[in-house]
Amino acid sequence: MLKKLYKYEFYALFRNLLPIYAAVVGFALLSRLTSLVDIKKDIFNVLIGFIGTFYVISIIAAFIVSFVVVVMRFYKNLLSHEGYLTFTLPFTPTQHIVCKLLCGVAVIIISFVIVLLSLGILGAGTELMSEIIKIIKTAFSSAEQLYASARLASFFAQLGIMIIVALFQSLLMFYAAIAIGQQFRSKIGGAVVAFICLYAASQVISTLELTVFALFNIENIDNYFDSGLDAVQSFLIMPFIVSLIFSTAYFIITRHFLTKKLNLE
Amino acid sequence: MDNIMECTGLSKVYKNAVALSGINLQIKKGRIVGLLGPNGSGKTTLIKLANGLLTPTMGNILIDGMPVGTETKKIVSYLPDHNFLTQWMSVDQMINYFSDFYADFNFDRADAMLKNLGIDRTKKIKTLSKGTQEKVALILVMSREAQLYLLDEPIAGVDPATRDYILRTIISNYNEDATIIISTHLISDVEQILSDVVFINNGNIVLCDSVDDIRQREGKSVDELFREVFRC
Repeated sequence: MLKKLYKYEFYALFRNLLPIYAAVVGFALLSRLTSLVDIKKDIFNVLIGFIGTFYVISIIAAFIVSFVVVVMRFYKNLLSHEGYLTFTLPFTPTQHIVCKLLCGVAVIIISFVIVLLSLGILGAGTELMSEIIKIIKTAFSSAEQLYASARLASFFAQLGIMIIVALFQSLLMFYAAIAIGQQFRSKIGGAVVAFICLYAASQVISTLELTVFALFNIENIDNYFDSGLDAVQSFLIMPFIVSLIFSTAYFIITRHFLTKKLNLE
Repeated sequence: MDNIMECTGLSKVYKNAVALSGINLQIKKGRIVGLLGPNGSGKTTLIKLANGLLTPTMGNILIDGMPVGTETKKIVSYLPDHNFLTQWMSVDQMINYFSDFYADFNFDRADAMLKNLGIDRTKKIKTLSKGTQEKVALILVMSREAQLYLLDEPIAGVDPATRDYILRTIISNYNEDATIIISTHLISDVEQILSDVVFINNGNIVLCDSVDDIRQREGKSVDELFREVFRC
């Protein structure tokens, strides 16, 4: 039955996002097609300009709107009048939070993939794309380069994981702020105040973490930056751990308020 | 086990107010119970506690012998005093939603009731009138073959014809072993269908008795007794 909960969650999210995905892919296709046509008329150039502008706007909208849709879905489905039904379904509050979180992260990643796909459409058959393919081929052409590529790949994998953990952290921070905010008379006002407090606390702790890290490594700082990728990789471990701690804390706060202090409209 | 709901020393305290004050209550299976009391007496709080929407401050509440949780939610059908329907869904999607999550949902019963009322299943919830939305909500809740129905103010704010329809729907769509708890302050309208009543005031149980016993002992209707007990 848990599968059905995920099915409805994805459906509720995608019904809002599909028009934006269609716009991103559509404008990319239009841009690519117009670039293939050789018409030297001002009106056509204006049209190309408009399509390009709309394409950029649709990319920005895809990221912003997907984040907003995910956060709004959490609020509406759990804490507005819909919460009366959601919380009386045979699932625990933890299952609801995890479902919303996993689907939310997945949807934001899918938005990113759609944008990449649209860039692929835009670059298909161009010189730039041939250059990128050539670089990838060269990277895997010898054992030495393969080793370097593997290291680079491991670095990007770590960076990717960091971004995903940061995504979990930011969504959970919004969830925690919304869960705290429902305790106040003005739920949205309460959520905004709670968000500011949580954000300020996270900034203070992150700054402290960086200061402590710098103090402990002050003597090795020159060697540190000379060692290139390794340094960056080890440098990312601390924020990764801090992100995990923050995410866990936000999850516990959200769960506590939705289990023990639920206050539906 | 004879009791479908059992409260022991159940208290709920909000920031500045005591909503329920250590109540002890047993509701037997197969009864239609009126949870009666003036506004702010603790009726909705008790129903929310039985649904797991609130956590008790003290004491406990058992549904069919189990603490409130996922297992009890499978056997409790709840009609809140708020419109809980998902506005962007169609009536059909709402039916599928209920049948996907509640194994006891009777699709044919829902279909028959919707046809009876001439409600277009393809219409989005948000396009329906407030009264029709309330009917759809009641149809969904009463189409479950639940063991306990918790109906919070099902007849408040509707016209007399709809009120009759709702009461008819309630008594013709529940299994005789199931229990229905109806919270309301419109006593004269529900009195005809009740087997037991629970009077609640300021978070305390004032009276818990069968309708027949009240009529026999007091020589008056539940509505008359209510007006006497809760006279301002």
